[in-house]
Amino acid sequence: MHDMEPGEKGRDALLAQMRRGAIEHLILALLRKEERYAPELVQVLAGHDGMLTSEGTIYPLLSRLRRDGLVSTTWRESPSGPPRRYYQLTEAGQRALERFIHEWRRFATTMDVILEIDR
Amino acid sequence: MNDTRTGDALVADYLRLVDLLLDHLPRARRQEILEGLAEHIADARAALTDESDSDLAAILQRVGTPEQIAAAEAQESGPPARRHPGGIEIVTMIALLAGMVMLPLVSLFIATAVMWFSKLWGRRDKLIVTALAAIGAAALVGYGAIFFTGGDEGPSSALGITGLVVSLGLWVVSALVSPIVAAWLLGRRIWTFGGQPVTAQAAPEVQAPHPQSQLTWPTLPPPAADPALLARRRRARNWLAVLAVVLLVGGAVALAFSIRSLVGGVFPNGAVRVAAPGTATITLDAPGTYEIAHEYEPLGPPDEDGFSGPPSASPNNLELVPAGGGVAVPIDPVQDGSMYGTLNREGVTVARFTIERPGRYVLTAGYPDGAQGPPTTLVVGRDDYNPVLALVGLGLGLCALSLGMLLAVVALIVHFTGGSRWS
Repeated sequence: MHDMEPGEKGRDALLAQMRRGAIEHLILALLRKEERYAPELVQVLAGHDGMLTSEGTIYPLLSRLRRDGLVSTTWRESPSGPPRRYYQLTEAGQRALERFIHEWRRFATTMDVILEIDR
Repeated sequence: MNDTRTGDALVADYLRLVDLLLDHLPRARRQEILEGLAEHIADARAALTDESDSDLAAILQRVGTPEQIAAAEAQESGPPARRHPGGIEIVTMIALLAGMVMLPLVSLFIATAVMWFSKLWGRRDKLIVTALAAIGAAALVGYGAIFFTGGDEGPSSALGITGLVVSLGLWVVSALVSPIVAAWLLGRRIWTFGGQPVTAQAAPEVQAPHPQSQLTWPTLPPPAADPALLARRRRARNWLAVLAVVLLVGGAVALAFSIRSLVGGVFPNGAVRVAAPGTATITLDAPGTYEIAHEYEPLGPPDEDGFSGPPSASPNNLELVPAGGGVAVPIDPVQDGSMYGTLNREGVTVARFTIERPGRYVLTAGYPDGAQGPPTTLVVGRDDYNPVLALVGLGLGLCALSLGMLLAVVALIVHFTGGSRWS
């Protein structure tokens, strides 16, 4: 049991590091076509392995994105229950997303090339 | 199936724990995150047709422990602001604290100017301190205006005690209140008055909860900011507010009494003023020793040396008899009587007498040996005036007022930062 822990921990730490820069751009990407409310975002992200450690951690992140002016929020009536806070991509968010996509492609290509060198 | 009330209480407890862990955040940000979580949980609960305890547990499990939320928030906030003061901060603080004693307002201006180059202090702090400097400057201008509008005669003759008190108050604001509040505002950022925020470095790396694991919450380790500490902070704020009110009220009362006492003249207890030379009927309502003083306008025509002083002659040829007739009360002349001064009047004691029976008396006053002299004023009053007391009252009142203002500001700041910036 104890022997396994370092490996588990290492994997979690690695995932966390990789996730850190990526997740906010994933959220921006999810908002590119349409506005969404937070549980919707959570649902999509949770459907993909390793993207959310726990659902609630998205709220500090959304709060920061809103503070940074990358997303904005609007209250909308919901068909059932109380009004919901919907998130939209702002122009700054749009630009940040495009920049990320551009850099990510270059980065991923570089990573792939180097990782393949001695296979 | 569970009791909805129990479920609501559980959710409320959960949110309260998150609230405590995010205590270091500004209220609006904390509120935003809490609202998001509350909506999220409500949304998930609404999707259930029949909520059981384990359903709710699973929802909260998925949302994450309060520690996980706090750790995520710490990552978003980035590393905490640099707290080690550099040259700019040190110069600012020295100018504020040391300059207060020597060059109050100039140092406040220097500190304000230097402060804007600092990266440690936020825009909000800088704006508030700049406003404080402006208030200090305005107060100093007011002080100067009052002091110098008296022209050659100075503040005393032109404006009297009220002017002095107002100008003293303005001086206290510009020289003490402004820099002290400014120093406190800026200093707390350096000497970490506030609760230490959860730092990005210290944030524990979040473990994904094992799907089959027992719900660890609500038997969590005690949160970093425990309720007892928060309660203590709130109590401290309340005491601060009470103390501020007591000081403000006490200071105002002390000030009012001492001003009344000073303005009332040197004889606060039923002092009577009569025109002299002349005859007047006065009422002396208690037995005891009374003093008669010659009160004249100060700063009259200057003598040949350029100084104005007491007139050379006083109407000290005095006679006091009971109004209903009877034996004249013996009056002891006072040589080199003590001089006194309020700010718009001056006087010198010229005589003293003692009566056994209170009542109405007739006082006749004239210049010695039937000489003629200018019309002037005599004051008759009990010999128990203590100007030291009134002046001490004045000083204490001013101190209490400014300290009260300071504490009120502190209490307000504590209130509006949710108690999190004060411990």
